[in-house]
Formats: sequence, structure tokens, C-alpha cells
Amino acid sequence: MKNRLEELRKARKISQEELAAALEVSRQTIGSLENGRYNPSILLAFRIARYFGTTIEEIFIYEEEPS
Amino acid sequence: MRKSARFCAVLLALSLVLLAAALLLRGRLPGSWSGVLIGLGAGIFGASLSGLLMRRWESRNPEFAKQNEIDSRDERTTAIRSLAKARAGDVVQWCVMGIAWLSILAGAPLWLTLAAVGVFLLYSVLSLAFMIRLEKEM
Repeated sequence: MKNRLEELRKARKISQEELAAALEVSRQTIGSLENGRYNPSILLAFRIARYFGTTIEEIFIYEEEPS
Repeated sequence: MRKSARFCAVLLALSLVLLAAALLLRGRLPGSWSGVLIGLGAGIFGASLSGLLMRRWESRNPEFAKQNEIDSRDERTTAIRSLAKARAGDVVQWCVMGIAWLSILAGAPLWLTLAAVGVFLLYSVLSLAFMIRLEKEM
């Protein structure tokens, strides 16, 4: 799933390690989230949105797969 | 599952008792019971000692301990671990069936073949049972 996580993180000038520590996940999870290899659970998505002070839809871009 | 230092210490003591019993009772125990005690004792000794060393290291390095705690409970790590275990279980299940066939070809006792087939079936039954249980919970 495409997302703006890396863009938002860099705008705040924080590293993946710092974001991971704030969200209490591993740095590898942040890396996988940013490059779209891993989709977060709904709870983690809410925590990420709360951390950045925005909504889930503003961070994660849902695109329907072509049938 | 993370074990407390006290639990590891108890296991370590138990392993030493098993090893001592194996050595002291060697020759007086029937069959291969001495070997069983040594195997159990050695296995529990290794696991409990590593647990104690990990707890000791964590108490001296609390920042790394916290990071280890986060990494072990991380949702992506948990998902990877669960998927890896499931796939490994699928592979091992068919390996057990291979062992059953090998035991037939090698002329092993029937109970050995039946035990291997039993383990194969047990995996399928347990998988189904867990699926039914998780269907209700989730």
C-alpha cells in the first residue's frame, strides 16, 4: 500500500529509529512500511496517524487492485 | 515465551539433579533410562543457562533489553514468526510421512511406522482444532 510515511517523517526531521521508538515497533517495520512491503494493522495505522496529528487516509493511500 | 530468572534457576537445578541421577544410577537403571536422563538433563541445562545469561545481560543493559522487548512484540516480527512456523510445520509434516515410509522400507517395527503416521495425523487434527478455536475468538 502506498503511503506518505517517509515524506511525513522527513518533514519532521526524525530518523526511522526515532519513529520506531516513538511507535514502539522495530526499525525494520518502519522501513517495510515506508517502502510498501508491509501493511500495518489498524491499531498501528491509528497510532501512526495520531503521532503525526493527521488521519489514516492522509498517510495511507488505498488503491483498488485492477480485476 | 520469556521466562523469569527464578524459573530458569529452578530449571537449572532440575537439570543438575537429572544429570546427577543419570551418573549415580548408571548401571542400576533398566534399559536406556540413563541416556534419557542425560538427554533431558543436558537439554534443560542448556535452555535454562541461556535464559539466565539473557536475564543477566538484560539487567546490565536495560536500554537494549527494552529494545529487545519491543522487537520481540513488534507486529511485523510476530507475523513473520507465525508464518515461518506454519510453513516449517507444513514441511515437517511431510518429512514425518517420509520417515514412516523409510521405516517400512527399512523393516522397522510396526509401532514405529504407526507412531510416525500418528504424528502426521496429529498435526492435521491440531491445525483443524486451532482453526476452529481461532474462528470463534477472532
